[in-house]
Amino acid sequence: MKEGKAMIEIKDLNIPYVDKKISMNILKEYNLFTGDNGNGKTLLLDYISGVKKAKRTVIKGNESIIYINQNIYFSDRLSGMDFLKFSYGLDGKKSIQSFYQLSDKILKREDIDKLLKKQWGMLSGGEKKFLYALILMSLEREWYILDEPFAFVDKKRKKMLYKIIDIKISEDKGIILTTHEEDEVVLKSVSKVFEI
Amino acid sequence: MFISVKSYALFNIKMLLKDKIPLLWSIALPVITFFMNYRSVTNEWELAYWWVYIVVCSYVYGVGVYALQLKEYGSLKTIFSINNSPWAFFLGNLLTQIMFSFISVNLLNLIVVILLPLSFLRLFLYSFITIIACLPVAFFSYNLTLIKKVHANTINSIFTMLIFGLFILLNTNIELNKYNPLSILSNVLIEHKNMDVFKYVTFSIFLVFISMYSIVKFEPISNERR
Repeated sequence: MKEGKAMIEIKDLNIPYVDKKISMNILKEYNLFTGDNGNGKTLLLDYISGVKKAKRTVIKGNESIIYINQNIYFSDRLSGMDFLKFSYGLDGKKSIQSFYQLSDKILKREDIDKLLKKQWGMLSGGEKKFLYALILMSLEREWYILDEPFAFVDKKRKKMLYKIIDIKISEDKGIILTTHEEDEVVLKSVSKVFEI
Repeated sequence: MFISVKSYALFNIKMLLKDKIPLLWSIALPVITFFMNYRSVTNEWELAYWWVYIVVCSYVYGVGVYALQLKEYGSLKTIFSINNSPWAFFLGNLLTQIMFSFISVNLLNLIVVILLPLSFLRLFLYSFITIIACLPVAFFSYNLTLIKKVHANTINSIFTMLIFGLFILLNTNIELNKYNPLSILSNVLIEHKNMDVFKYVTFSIFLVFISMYSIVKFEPISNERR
């Protein structure tokens, strides 16, 4: 184990429905959770993110997390800008400046503004996933959990998502990512793979 | 907390107003029954029957049933990871429904002043009092989120039948109306007898207090799905 690196500690966590007991230490780096469908990856992420509470405290170090899961609380009639302002408002921020600090590293300002202005329902599946991840990963946290972020995303958007993750890793943030498909780029970049 | 409550409310009201059907539907039935009964309305408070129906529907569907549906779809996980405050979520939804009710009842009030020689200002004020008086319904409806092993769509259907039935019952003189919550609430507002108001306020405080448990215990995870 690397000395002095922050981590999330899980001890004897019982995962219901799949009948698993999990103990693991997740270092603050690029972590990949793999496993077949139905193996309990999402359930484990629910616990790690803190949205699902264990009966006793068995997870430590998970106080500052953004959990980007597959179901989006949003309306197709609104724009990406509405979601951006909503997310920042929930985070108690009045300015969306930190969003542009991240997005400027990925896309030209006029391109991102075009995406933000579009009605959400008019965006492609890949555009939605990309914009959703970009908005949420621009919020300042120590950890980012991404549950199947590359599913149904084209190569171009995947590359942009890789870039956002790389930026966060370079800022010394922890990433936990799940996927059930083999992805060469991800496998090359990750620091540790956990088979769930 | 104020910023997050405001964010929920603004976001929800934008979603609601972009889709006109819920707004039209919320006043469709009251407008139809108003057209059938408007000749018997003699003063502003008598509109309470219609206001109570509109506001109770907004609170039950927009606060309790809505929270239960979002839980089931799993769409609150990310939102709660940004701000893990069940109070902000509840108050945001409540504020949304207060605004939505305000718009709905005043649409009805506009129709009323076209047909009857009543004061819009009084209708505006009394309907606002109704929105406030019905607040305990919103708190109570949140207890639905504690129910396990029942699908949100089932709850939705049960309440659609129940509230519709209670509203239709209001138009009759059947003895059963003594137990009709819509009738009881409307009559407290129409007659505003001191003793009845006192009983209502006491009962409301009790309802709000016991319903706080469901707010504090709210989890964004489905009771029904993994």
